[in-house]
Amino acid sequence: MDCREAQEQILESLAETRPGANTPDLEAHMAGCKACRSFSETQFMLDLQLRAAISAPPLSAAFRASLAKRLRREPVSVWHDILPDVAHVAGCVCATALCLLTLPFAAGPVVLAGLAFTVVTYFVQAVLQGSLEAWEEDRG
Amino acid sequence: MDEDVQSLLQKHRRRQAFERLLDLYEVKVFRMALMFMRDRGRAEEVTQDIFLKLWQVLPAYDGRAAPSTWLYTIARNTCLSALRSEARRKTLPLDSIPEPVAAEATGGSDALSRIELERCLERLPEVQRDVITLFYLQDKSVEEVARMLDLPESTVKSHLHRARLALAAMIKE
Repeated sequence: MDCREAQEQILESLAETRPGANTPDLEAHMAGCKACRSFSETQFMLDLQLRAAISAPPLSAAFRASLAKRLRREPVSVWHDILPDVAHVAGCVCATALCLLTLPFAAGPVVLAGLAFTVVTYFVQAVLQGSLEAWEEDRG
Repeated sequence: MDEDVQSLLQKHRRRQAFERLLDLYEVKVFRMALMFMRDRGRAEEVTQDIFLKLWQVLPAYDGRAAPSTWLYTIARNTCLSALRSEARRKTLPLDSIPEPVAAEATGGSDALSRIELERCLERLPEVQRDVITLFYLQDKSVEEVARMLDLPESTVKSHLHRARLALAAMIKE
């Protein structure tokens, strides 16, 4: 083991939640290498100092109550979610009825065409809605 | 943990899923916000904003990503947008500039070295400072830091190593 490998292993052990014991290879290297012993001591001291210095304060006791208050002010409406679908079906039904009344064709093909149009446009709007939501989610 | 939340969402038990997410992640998200905002009060406000957004978008959850991944994406974007809007309001008086996270610990016999350490942290490149701060705030979990910052674990470790080497060099100066 050379110094580069030894120092990488020392840094690697500090990236673990609970650093384990040094490997025999590392122990053997450090026994004969003053530079790596000093490196190890510096890094362990630094780890202790960082641990002591970077500490998170707890969330305040009022956090949950305050969040609950804000949530009550902004309820999510179920109607809001299904509104585009309702508007889409209603629009298609109206358009099909208008075609039935104004076009000089038999009722069967017009209703069938209206139904096909409704299904196809439903899938198109579902895909568009999904993409829009994904985009909004990415923007946070 | 995420599986519980996922199964609650599949059963349309949104409130229970939300409360489970709150129990599991409120502290982690708060610490993440603390890393970005560097002020306890602001971090708490932003944490509330994050969970409020989560509640609003929960009906659109489609199960493609783990709920925690989704939550961390919302958290990251909310923190960044809060930081951007604060940067726009840059006319803060000097005494209202928040104390950095590392200086929040109470002073003691090693208070001076903490201030020095804080100065050294400030000199690190931003990504290294964020990674090392979050690593210690999140109880030294590389995995959690990687998920929060949407970086591979190997990249987080590499930033950690570089930050440690740079800090050690600064301390020796």
